[in-house]
Amino acid sequence: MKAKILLVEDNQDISYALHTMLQYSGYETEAITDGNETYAKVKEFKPDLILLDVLLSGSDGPTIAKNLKKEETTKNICILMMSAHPSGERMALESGADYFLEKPFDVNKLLENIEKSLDISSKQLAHT
Amino acid sequence: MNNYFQNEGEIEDLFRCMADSSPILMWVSDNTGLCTFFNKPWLEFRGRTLEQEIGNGWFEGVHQEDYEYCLNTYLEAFSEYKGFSMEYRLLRFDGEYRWILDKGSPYFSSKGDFKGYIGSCLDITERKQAEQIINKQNRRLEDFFENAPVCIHWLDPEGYIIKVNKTQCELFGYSAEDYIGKQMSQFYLDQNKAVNNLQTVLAGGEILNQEIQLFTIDSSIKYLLLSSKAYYEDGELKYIHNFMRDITFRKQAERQLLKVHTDLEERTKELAKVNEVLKEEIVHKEVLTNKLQEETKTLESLNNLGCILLAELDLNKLVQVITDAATDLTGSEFGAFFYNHSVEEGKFVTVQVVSGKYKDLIPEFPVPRNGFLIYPSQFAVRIADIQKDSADLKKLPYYGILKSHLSIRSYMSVPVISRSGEILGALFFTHPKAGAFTEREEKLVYNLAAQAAIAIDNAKLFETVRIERSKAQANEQYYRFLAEAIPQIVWTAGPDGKTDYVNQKWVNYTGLRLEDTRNRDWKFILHPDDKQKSLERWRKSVSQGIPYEDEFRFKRASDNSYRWHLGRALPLKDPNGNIIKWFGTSTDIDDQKKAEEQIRQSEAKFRSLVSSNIIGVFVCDEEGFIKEANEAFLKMLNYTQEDILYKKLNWKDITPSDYTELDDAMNAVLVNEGVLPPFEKEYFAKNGKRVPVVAGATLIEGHEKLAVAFVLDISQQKELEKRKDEFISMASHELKTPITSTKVFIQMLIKMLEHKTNLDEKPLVFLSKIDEQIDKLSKLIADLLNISKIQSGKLEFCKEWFDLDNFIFEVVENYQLSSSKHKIEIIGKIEKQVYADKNRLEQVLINLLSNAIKYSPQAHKVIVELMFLPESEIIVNVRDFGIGIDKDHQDKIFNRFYRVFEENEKTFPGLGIGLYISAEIIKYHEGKIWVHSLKGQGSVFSFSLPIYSDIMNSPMEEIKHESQNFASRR
Repeated sequence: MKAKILLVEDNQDISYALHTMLQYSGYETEAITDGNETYAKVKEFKPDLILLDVLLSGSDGPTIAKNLKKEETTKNICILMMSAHPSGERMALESGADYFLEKPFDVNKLLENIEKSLDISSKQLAHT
Repeated sequence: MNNYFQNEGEIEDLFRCMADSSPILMWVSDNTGLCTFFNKPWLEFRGRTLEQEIGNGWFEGVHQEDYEYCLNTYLEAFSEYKGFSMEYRLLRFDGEYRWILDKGSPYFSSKGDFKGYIGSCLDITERKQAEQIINKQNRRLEDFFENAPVCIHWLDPEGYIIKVNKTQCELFGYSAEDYIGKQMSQFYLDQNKAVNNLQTVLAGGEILNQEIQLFTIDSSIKYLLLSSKAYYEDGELKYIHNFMRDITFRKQAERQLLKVHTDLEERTKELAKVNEVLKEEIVHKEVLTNKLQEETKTLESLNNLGCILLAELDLNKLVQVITDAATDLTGSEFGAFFYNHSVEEGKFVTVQVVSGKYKDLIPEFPVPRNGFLIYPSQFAVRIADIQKDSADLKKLPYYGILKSHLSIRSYMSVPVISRSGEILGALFFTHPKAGAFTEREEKLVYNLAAQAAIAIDNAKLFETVRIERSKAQANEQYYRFLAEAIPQIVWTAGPDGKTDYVNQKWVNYTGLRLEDTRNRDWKFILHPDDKQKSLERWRKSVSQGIPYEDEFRFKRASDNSYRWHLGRALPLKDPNGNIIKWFGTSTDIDDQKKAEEQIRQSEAKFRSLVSSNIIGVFVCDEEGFIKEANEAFLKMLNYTQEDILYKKLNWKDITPSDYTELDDAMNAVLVNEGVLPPFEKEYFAKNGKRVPVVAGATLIEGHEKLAVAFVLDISQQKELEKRKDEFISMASHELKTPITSTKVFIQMLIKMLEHKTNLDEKPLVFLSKIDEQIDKLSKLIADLLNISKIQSGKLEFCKEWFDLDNFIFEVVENYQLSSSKHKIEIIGKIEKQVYADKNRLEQVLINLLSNAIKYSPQAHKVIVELMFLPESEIIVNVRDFGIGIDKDHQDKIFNRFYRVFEENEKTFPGLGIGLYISAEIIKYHEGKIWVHSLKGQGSVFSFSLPIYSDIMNSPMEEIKHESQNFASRR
């Protein structure tokens, strides 16, 4: 079964590029641009991994990550945050995200990170 | 001077009168060191009688803490009969200890015997207190000045710097000496601005927070906010106070370099100073040697002179002349004159004066012990042949003449008798032939003896007069000595008020000799404002015979300055109440007067600084209650003077609780050091708003419980910094966003093309090139962001434990992919875990690798050397074989925006920020970064990291994030 990735990114260009790239790389991907829609989308789509931008219109990345990690049903979803903001890494890791990637990034590195985190979270799931 | 003082008793009276008229306390001791006299002021001061004080009685009044010091000073001086000066506390009649300046001078009898000391004392308590207050005030002013968190300098009205504080010196790297005496404008980037500012202030204007640019010692530029204000003293513009706030963000790297520079300069200066001192020492020694030689010469000539004087005693000369004349007259082979020379009352010495052929032999003959030879009779004795005349040879004079004497046959002796019938002595003549003296000779000598008697009488009288006169002179000298020994001006005047004596101190002080003074020239050295009043008082005293006392200003000849004096005079009256003489003294009280004035001025200066309201100032007690605050401070926090007066405002209560710990630490510094250097904190304004400030403080000297604090509002600066940070963050975010999507697109394209078969290679190559360019662009943006963060001290670090060898291997392997021309080799192993920020270290390594490749276009190899020095550090070298760096540039390449430009050399692109960032990162890790390079042969860039000793103990954490504020580590 293909892993499911939810992309939350408010920049249309980046969103389009990443969406295409993830699909091309064989992931089942959905993309939203409004952070507020995340919770509904997560319930509906049930992603294995969320690729989450830090600075978002609507609810921002760290708030979303914190909320998801609090919720029993969503806390096991792997969250990979990304940002071009200088304080992005600190904000991401403080909010409980599993990984962080600084924009701009190398696509191969992104894919590597996605694989790694999916691997870890599937193992964790297997344990539970 | 007339011979007023004929006997010592009178002198003592006069001295006592003079001593009692003096405003100072006086004492006299004898040659055993015991005090024998205290003047009236002394006894009044002590509230004791002379009987209680004499001997060692006065010593009971010396403060216990000064007891030993006093005794030692006195005994030390006493052992060599030297003068001394000491300050001690003496108990006054009212039970208060007063500070006394006691000066003692030894005095000697006319014969040079040590007679004791004469001492004079001044109550210097007020002066001491004034000095203490001045010191305190100046310390306060100085502390304030030096430690204020702003640059302060003072200009004179011509624009020359006369004072500059530590903060400014430190900021600009100049020493105070560099500034003082220079025009401030020469430190301006825009000199016209400096000139305009000066004119504005001189015209009565004020400058508030004007932005200016000044050069530092290394010619870099600092941006400052200038406030300028004139300081007036007695309506006259004295100084211009300039306050400057540094608004350039501190440049850590540059400042450290600067510090080394300043240190070196200071050391050179110190060395130069030592050199100067040594030179002076040598010159001083030469001068001393010369003086010693001169001294010796003078002594020798004095000695010679003394001998000559002794030989020229008139009476002796006369007696010799008489003897010579008589011997010659009688044709004697030998003549002598024995006469009684009175030494003291009732005592005589018989002196023998000889003449004739054997004159020089006589002193070798034994002197006859007995006989009338030396006890001449009233009558002349003449014997033709003494050998025949005294046949039994036992008759005088033959019997009295010793055998070893000349052979004598003829003998004659004639007494010399004064008009009063006193036998002064006798003339004796002998001859080896018998019958040499006849009656004729006897008569001749008789006549001569009569004349001689008169001459001798006269001479003796003359001598007596001379001795009497010299005694009188000695007495006069003694009195004068007493007058000269007093450390103040002494003068005497006749009943008419006309000066007839002044001591040397007067002459030295005023430059007027006695003659000038008698001519009333002294009126001209009185200050014009005091002249009339002073002269009137003196005239009144003279006409009414009442003591005189006044304060006035005298011109001091040595520097032509007017100085305050306390003048006093007492009349000395005869038993009928007629004034015989006036005794006057004059004491320089200028220092005391000036001290009072200085206090006033110093206070005014401090007030002017405080009331200039450029920075906030408050005074608080040890509890933190604010006793006093200036408008600037109150305005900053929206408080009023009423709040201070009635609400018991405490700075601790208006400080947010998150600063309690910092404040406690700073308070401890203040208590221990007395001064608290400026630090950043916040206060609550009255409306609850937080106000960021820079605050410093200093304890008030003498009041350990009071402190004065300086507070500078930095909210504007903080606000500006915050906005700048936000802007930079957003700007980099905005720049990176399009790059992010572009990169994803490009890499997607590459991936897609790679899966196509039969593809033209070119598009793929182009896309890869674009991808590389995007990487460079994003690195540039990241670098600029880092720079701005380093400057504002906000570079964030995430430290974690990792294996350094693996890490370096990975970085090098990745980097090798992008550089096909150079082969990067790794030599050595470290085999250590480090606790560092992986991303930042990668930044450093890539920086060094890219430089190594960039600057070795002709080479094909770069070597990374890993070294581990046990118990000290880890070293990583990046060695290239490129163009190398000239020595001149080596220490500067770690500076921001520093680029090496050489003529006839290929220019390399770049902003000059890579090494600066690398250096900052390594510094943060408490490591070092340096370079060894030879022009044309290549460079070795090295950095070291400390060994983390706790590595063995601490559990390995896979990822340990630590977000730290860069600034907090500085």
